[in-house]
Amino acid sequence: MSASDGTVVGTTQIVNNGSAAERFNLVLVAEGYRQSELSQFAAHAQQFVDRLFSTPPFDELQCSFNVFRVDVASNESGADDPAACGGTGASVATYFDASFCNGGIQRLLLVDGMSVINVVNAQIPQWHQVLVIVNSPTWGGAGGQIGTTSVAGGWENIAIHEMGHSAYGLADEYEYWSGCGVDTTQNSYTGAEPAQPNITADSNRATIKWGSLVAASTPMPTTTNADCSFCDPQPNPLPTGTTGAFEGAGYFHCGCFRPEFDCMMRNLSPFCAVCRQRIRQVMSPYMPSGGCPAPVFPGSNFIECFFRTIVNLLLILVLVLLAWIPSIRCLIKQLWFRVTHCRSGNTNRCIRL
Amino acid sequence: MSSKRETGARRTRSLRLIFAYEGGSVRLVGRQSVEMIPPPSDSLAGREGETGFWYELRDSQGRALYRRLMQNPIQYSTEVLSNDPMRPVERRDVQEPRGVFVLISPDIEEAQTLALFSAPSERNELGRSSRIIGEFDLKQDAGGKEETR
Repeated sequence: MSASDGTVVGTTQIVNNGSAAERFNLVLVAEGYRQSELSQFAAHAQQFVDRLFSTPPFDELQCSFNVFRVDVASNESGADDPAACGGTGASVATYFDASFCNGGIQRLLLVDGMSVINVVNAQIPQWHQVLVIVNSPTWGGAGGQIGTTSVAGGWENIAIHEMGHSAYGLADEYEYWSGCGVDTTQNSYTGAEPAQPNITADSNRATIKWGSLVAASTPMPTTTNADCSFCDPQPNPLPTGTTGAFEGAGYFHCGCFRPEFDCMMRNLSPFCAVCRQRIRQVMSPYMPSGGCPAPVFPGSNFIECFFRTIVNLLLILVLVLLAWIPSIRCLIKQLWFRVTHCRSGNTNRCIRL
Repeated sequence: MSSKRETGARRTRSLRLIFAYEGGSVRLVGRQSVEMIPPPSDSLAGREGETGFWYELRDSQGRALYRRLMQNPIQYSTEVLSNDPMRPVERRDVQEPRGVFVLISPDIEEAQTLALFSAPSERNELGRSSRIIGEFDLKQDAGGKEETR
């Protein structure tokens, strides 16, 4: 189970916004795909890119990214799934030796990190972030600059959450460790101020680190947890997107605060305003001067865009005519009436087709 | 920090530093100088007493030239998917932390050392103030391979 179990086929740039020396270079690496399955990997890679660039704030930061796909063909499909963790017991020959059940944790899916680094260094020396996509429908993954993910439903959001940690230094905003009702050690945070930008022990309006985003009308702290032995069960008392200080964050039920009720870093909801601000700040050196132009779709060119625009305009014109010219609607109704009468045998008023 | 980011003929160079860790031991096993833009520096203002993970480039006087906050790459615990759709991720303790991680910093002449700061990551020590857990001389051989691209 190693590099002898496959081949590095090559690299394809799937998002190109300029020189790799000037952009943030995201690399997607195939693991556990046989040669005949690499088209599936291409589809999975595109699926991730589509999700990433439809997730604010990445939708407005697209032009700061290059994305590369490294096609690696393994001799067999999937990943090792040891029976010790309740897996199938499968042991497969794959290039990066992906395996579930690391450290006794079924869903901890790891690869040979040094081997990934060596391959990516050789393919795209300017890489910033690597995501290894493992061809398995079983839930699993791991964070880090060399992140891993399987392709179980919803995997794209988990991978974006992990990028929040590894590329942007964002903290987990959830208020538990092993689960609400499971933990007995996560009641109240009494530690030092967290260095990460999106959690805090300070709920004071005057000194909280994201104070510039808090409206004067928002109560501070915005929510408090009445029972620190459990996760706060109350729903969001304020409109979605309100920035404040919501108690319960950084793995603790009380004493640590998050900026919004929901966030990608809490429960895979859209990124909160504080996280969006941090992502924009980190991506700022990679933005072309003048900001992002209109989105560029992979494979598109001027002629394709021109014809797409003409077709779209024609479609709009047809819809407007159908909706607004009563005579056309009347004509269609009459035709339909005569056709149906013809079918029913009444030949006096029919149109024969 | 005198980062050399410019457009045109002269470009920014970054250092990619590769570390291996096992238990509490961290080793610098490789480094590359690459023509690419590093992530921007976080504030160089003092972070005494704070908790988290960050790394600093320091000059020969020990002054910070560059600092970057990040999630602790030494995985004493890891995030996994839960079975609860309302709380889709949770953490699990890792029994024998071991692996590799990569840091990217500006490749600047004045940088003498790279210091890693971390709070203890075991669950029962969450929230303790960070301290230096390793300092690496960038002017010496990494002890592993060194490349320039």
